[in-house]
Amino acid sequence: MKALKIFALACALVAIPVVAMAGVTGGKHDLTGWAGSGGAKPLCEACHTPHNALGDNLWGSTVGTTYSAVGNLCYTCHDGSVTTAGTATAFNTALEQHKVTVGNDCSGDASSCHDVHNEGTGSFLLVAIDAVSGTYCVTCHDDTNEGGLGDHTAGMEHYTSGTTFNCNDCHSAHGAANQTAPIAGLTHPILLEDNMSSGYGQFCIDCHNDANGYTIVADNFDYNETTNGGAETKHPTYTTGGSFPIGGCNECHDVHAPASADNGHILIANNDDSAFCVSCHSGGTAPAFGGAASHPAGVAVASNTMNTSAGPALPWADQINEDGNAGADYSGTADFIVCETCHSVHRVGLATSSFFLREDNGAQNELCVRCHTAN
Amino acid sequence: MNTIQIKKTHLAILSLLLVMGAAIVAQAAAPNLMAAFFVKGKVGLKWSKVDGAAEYLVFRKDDSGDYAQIGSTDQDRYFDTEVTGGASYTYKIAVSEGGALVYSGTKSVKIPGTVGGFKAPSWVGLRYDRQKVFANWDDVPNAIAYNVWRSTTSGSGFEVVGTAEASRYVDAGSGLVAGTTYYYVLSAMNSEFEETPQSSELSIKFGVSAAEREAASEKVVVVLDPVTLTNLFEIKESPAGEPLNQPSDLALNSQGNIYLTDTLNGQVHCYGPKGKPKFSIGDKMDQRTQPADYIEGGFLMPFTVAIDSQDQVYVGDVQRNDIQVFAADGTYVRRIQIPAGEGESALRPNGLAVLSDGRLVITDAGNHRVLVTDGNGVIKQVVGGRSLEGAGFNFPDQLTVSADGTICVVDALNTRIVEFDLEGKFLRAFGSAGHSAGTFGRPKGIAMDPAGRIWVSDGMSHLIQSFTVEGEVKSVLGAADDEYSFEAPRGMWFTGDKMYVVERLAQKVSVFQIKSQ
Repeated sequence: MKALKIFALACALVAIPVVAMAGVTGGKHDLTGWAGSGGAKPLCEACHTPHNALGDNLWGSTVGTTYSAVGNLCYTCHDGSVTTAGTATAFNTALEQHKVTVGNDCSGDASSCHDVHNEGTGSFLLVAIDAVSGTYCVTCHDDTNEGGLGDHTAGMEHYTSGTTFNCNDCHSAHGAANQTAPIAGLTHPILLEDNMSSGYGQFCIDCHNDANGYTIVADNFDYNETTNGGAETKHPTYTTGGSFPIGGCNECHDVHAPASADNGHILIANNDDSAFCVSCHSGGTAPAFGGAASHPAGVAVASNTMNTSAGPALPWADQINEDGNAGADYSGTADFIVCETCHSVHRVGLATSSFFLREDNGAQNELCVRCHTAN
Repeated sequence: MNTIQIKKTHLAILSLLLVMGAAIVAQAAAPNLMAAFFVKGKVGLKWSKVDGAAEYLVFRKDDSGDYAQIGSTDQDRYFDTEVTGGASYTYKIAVSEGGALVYSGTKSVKIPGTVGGFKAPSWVGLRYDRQKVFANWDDVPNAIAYNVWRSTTSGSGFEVVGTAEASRYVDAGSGLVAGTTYYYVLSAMNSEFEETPQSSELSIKFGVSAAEREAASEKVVVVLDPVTLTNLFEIKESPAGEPLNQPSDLALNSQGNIYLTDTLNGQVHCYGPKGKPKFSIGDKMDQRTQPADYIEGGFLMPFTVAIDSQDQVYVGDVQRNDIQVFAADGTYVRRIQIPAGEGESALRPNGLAVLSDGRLVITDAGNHRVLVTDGNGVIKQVVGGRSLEGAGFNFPDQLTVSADGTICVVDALNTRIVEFDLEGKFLRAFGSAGHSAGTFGRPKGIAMDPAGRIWVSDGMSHLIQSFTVEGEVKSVLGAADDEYSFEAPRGMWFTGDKMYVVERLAQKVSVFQIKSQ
């Protein structure tokens, strides 16, 4: 058995360079053996040096401070002098790049994405393209390999264009936008645009605005509204933060979350009967609503005397429908008053109201009397 | 009666056996030579041991001679290595008994000479490289295998160190001592396992002793000119205060103003002679911009810059595949396009120079050639085409033109500098791949100092080296023990005693006062 292992190892050692050569010959990385070259120079020596190599794997390159030995060697051609492929993206050190596990090593490591010796996969990729999504990303970012990477594919609800998606709609492995701040702890979200530049999801609202039609709410209240002094801005970044953190859309939503009846609208947690609202508004990460000392939430409306003649009834827990699509947003308890009975985090209602109230309470407590009779 | 007769018969037989036994006992004092055979270039002898014998003497005679002792041993075998092809030998073994020699019987062996053209191999040669000895010889007809013999003594002491099926062998050198001369001979075997005599002898010194290596290294040391650098200033930001992003090339105009291609920021910046930011030229275009939408003065990847006698600024863009011309104040003047011919790639202007008469010299990396054009880009001379040697190129990069019209081009993937005149006549090339002085990893930029020396930056070794026009290396900058190091150096410029170096991955321009001591 031991002999067999040794034989297998020997075969592998012999096979590696043979396979590598086969993958290079005649391809883009065959820099000395093009048709008509006469093969006067060894195929490998464009990148490798057989003697007195300065780097690992017989690289002809010294280790640079910006890239690892491999990346630096790649850059000696991909700097625009031999090819412009990747110069402005993958080799643009001013932009955000997909994280790699070994320094900045982009190739030659089992955990890397590229195999410079195998052009056949397309873009010298080590990973395979996914037939369903048409992306390479799911090789790692799937439900099998989600450990530490996250399952970004299975049943993802956000931007599904039917049943497919394309990571590149929002992400770029190379040359992505730098982020003003980490997003939900992610230091390399590799988004196409800075989603934290204004602290409220600038990249999100590039799509979610009136112009693009992907409005958050149904009544044309623009999530990216700049009129009204920007008063139509959005929760929770409406506040200046104070002692509480200012977050983006991701504070409440997970764009990669699968569709869930429990957590509708790709919310991070279930908000039936305002449970998710309360999870923050208890003084920890957002102002406390006051608990029992505040207006009751989660109580049956039927137990109160209501005034329904002053206007449309405010929505009860099972009637909230912020986007106006597909019925109620939450499976709240019928006839229960909840936070969103009076408040609309995306400002359905008056654009200028305070505290995201659906209507201005005014001097006459107009909002209050929508439910509470004057007498 | 019968009984007696039987007893007599038995006694007679017994007596006979005793006599025979005595005879056998008497003969047992001589060794019994059982075999003599030729194998692997030598004759093997095997005999039976004799009780009490401490030493066996080996005698041999050839066809014309008498027996002579050729060796002795305390074993029951012996190998005669001193044989000659074609000869016949007869052997016998002796032991000493009572001061006299008692001989065995004899065995004869015919040493093969040639068997149907089967003869000893002829050497091609021995070569030493990296702790191994490589042996090559001519094929021997009908040979199915070869024995390789080695000795530390010329003419004797050879032992088989390996067997080869082809006419080559690599002696991995296990146990060999550097600095020792080893002698090799060969023999061939045919399908009958007959073996040829040994070939002629060839010797080689294994490795190099430490003392010899030291002595040799002293001989090959390149005497370099000591150069002193004093950093004068650095440029790290655009006039708008933004960090540079992989600047590539620079050129100075008659006023000493510095024009720098800020490649990934898609602009050309102008600085004063001391590095004071002045203004930027052009606008960065989106990388997805289609050629039909290119704007005047827009850049995708400005890569090289040159300045003419009127201080006009020429900028080559390897992504737009064109050259744009600006006035010294940055005003857009015109665009120079050189359309690709049939089967050609788009122009990729890696290097650019403007001659005093307005002609342009352009390295076109896309087509592995150098173009000499008029001021409008009309091609007047084409040099190169893809090649690994001669007057061709394998991804030419930057170029410089000397006062006498010698065009010096970085031939990047051929790791050399190619020189030719303005008529396209190939003059010379120098350089090779390596890490030592005078060799290149990935040469990038090239410039000529006022003294006429050629300076070459290297994006792989991160060194800058100077050469004479003839290619003799004169200095190396940026080595590990130097005060200053460079990170992916590319574009360079020399004026007076100043050296300007664009360091792409350091995102800066370093300006030095340079002195040769």
